[in-house]
Amino acid sequence: MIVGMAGMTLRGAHASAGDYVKSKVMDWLGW
Amino acid sequence: MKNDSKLSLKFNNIALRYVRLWSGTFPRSVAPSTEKLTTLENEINYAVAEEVLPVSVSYLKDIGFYQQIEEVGIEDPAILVNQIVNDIYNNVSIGNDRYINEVISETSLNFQNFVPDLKYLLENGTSSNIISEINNLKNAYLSQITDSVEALAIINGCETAKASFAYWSNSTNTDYWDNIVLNNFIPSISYSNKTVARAVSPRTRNEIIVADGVGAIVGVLEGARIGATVGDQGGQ
Repeated sequence: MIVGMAGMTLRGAHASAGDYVKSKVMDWLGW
Repeated sequence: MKNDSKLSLKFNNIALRYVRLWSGTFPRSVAPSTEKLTTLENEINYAVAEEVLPVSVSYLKDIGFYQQIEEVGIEDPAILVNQIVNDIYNNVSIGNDRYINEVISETSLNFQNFVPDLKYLLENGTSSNIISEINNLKNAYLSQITDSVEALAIINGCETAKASFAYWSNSTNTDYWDNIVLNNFIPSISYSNKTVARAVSPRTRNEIIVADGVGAIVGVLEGARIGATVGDQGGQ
């Protein structure tokens, strides 16, 4: 399950940062 | 983030291209087309992956993750991690919702009910009792689940959501990220009347917490699949 932990870290980091940046860019674009 | 100014420039350039494509003036009251919105999201997802994944992989190395993988009998942990990284790049345009819908079809019916229940709770829960509500949900589902991978996914999803809630409830953290995305990003644009929210709104915060929780669930399911494929003796 240790590999699952690595997947969790990587996938979670990407999903969280991606959603955050998207929301900010959308706000800035006024969409 | 390994380089805040570089990151800001990257998103600055992406956003500027859409400003010109759309109208060239601020503000816009008309929503963009679904196609244009999807294209922008894909570009952002890829740019984020390029920045976040190398940092995350370095983090895993630094905390001794590779050594732990070797201890369970896998000679080259980098191959495993690269598989996960490549999988994210290959699916970078697929949002968490679509991804979880694909991987969840192979799980038990109980687990398939858990994911929407967690998402609903995170999207609608109140801050005063969200932690206990997540714990209650986690314990209720763990009592019904017999598969060890699904149990770990439930634990990771709930615990990550709790940690994310705590992280995004701290103004130091929200100020830090706002500073990266806004303070480095906005001043380079010659526009004076645009008002930009300078804090993470409750709606946005809930969306991020959901993304964290669901991302953790997907990671375990995906990691277990990859681990089984390469013979992860420590996990199967």
